[in-house]
Amino acid sequence: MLDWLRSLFRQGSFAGVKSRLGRWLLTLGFLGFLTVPVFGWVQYRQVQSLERLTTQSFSNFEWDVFKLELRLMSLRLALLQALTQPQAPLALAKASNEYNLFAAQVLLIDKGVSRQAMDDQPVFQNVLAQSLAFLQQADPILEEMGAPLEPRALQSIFDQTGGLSVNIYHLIQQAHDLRSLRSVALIRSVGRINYYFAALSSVVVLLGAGWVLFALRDFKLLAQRRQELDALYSKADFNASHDFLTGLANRRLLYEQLKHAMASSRRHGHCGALIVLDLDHFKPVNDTYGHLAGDRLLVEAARRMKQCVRDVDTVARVGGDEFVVLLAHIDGPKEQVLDVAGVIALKLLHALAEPYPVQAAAPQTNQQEVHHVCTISMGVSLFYKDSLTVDQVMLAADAAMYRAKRLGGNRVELAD
Amino acid sequence: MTTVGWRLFLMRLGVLGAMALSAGVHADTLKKPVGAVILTVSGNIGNKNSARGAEFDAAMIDAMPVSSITTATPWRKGVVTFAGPALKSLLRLVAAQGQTLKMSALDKYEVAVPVTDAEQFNPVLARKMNGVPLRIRDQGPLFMVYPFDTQPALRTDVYYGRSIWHLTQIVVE
Repeated sequence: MLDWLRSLFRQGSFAGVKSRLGRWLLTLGFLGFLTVPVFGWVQYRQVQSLERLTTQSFSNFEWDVFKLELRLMSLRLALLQALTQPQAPLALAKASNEYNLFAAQVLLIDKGVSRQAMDDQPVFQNVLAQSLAFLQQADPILEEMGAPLEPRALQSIFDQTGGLSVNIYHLIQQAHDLRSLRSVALIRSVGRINYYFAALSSVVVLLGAGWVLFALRDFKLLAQRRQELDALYSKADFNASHDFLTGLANRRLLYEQLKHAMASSRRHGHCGALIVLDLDHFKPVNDTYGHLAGDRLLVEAARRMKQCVRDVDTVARVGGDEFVVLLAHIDGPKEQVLDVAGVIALKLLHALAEPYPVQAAAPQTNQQEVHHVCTISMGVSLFYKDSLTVDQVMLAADAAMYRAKRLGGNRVELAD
Repeated sequence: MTTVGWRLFLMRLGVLGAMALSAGVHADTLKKPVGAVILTVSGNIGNKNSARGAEFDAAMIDAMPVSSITTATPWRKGVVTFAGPALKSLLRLVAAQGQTLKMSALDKYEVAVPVTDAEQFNPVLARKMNGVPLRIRDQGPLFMVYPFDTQPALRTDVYYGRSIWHLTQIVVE
């Protein structure tokens, strides 16, 4: 896995991407793909926060103010009882107790941490100030039991609690509204984060697409280069096994084909023939008309030889004016094979005995076209299932060819 | 047994007797409250001073050895020092035997506290906050506080809930 990653970033791996910017984009795109799990995590967090938001619950401050309202209601009830039953000592004690609990709740809000949520709200400051003022006023009468009872003072305290109760009720409403407003704001901000991430993920997708495109281009280029290399190789292979001038096989290919043909003849029992040809009177062409004319003559001779044999047969140029025709596969018994080889040899003899048009390179000849007759001497050697070597077959054909040459040329000799 | 051995044995007997005697004296020394009763401990206790159980007025509570806890709480801004008798010394004083303490407050708040909390966390029944006596409006007269700052494991709703204020009654069960 790690090696694969490294190979992605290795020099020349993106052979198609030449520019530094392209490489950077590729790297960024890849890193972008790695961040995909982050989106999953963000989604999870969003679900969590939305769950938290949609769960109905009081904030700490709301609880505290709610309790304050309850305490105040208890206090008002106790005060009412004390007012209606001035003779009962327990009623006043109860009122005092409730009053102290109310005071404790006020101070809990005043000194506690929960008020931070509402500190900047005028309603809260209002209620706080009103409550503290109320405490200051009521303390001498209600904090300790046993203070002399003043029905009028008690009445005024009771009246004040009414206004306070209404204000505390407003405060509860305000705290609730504020909390839901904040929830809505939070939901909206979560939604905005969603948009950011949508934009970000589309960028990642674009980068990824770019990465894929670059990779495809890379593959295409690689395939193209492979093809070019193959073509180059086959061309070099052809050049190594063929004659440059005539395009015929060279000695190397001929030997290979001959070896193959002989092995095949041994295995399958068919016959083959090797014809060695040499042009008679070729040297004077070069000397009289120049090397270019000689080369043209050789090319024309090669063309004629090719026309005389089948496609499967091999025509090779093994020396300056020395050619070899390999008839790898001839059907029939040995005597018939000899006839076939003789027919082809005669065909070659006639085809090549035709005069060659030669253009003189020398200026004084005035570009006149002349014809040159260039006959051939041939030696034919057959191979049929016998254990001769390639060299022996070649030597036999060679010897027959030289014999034909000694006998005056323009003829075919069969090897012994 | 040698003479010395006998003597040692007698001495040990004497020490045991003294210990038994002191325990008995201790039981007898739980005075009757003079002022207003601010705390009543009842239930399975060995040391009582009235039919309802062990009653304490403010002076009796203040006479007990004072320990203190300095901690931040959810109910007050900043760090506050609470001082008062430790819960475990109160339980020892009334010879409490049981698993659970049912505590209730002036405002009818009730909570059950395991007796093991007293030894494990050593909460304090605060009488004073920053040196100022707690009035009812300051969560008095008794405010049980755990050492939240020194033991972070206590900062949960369970122990915040067990930190009862306006404490007036403990029933040992």
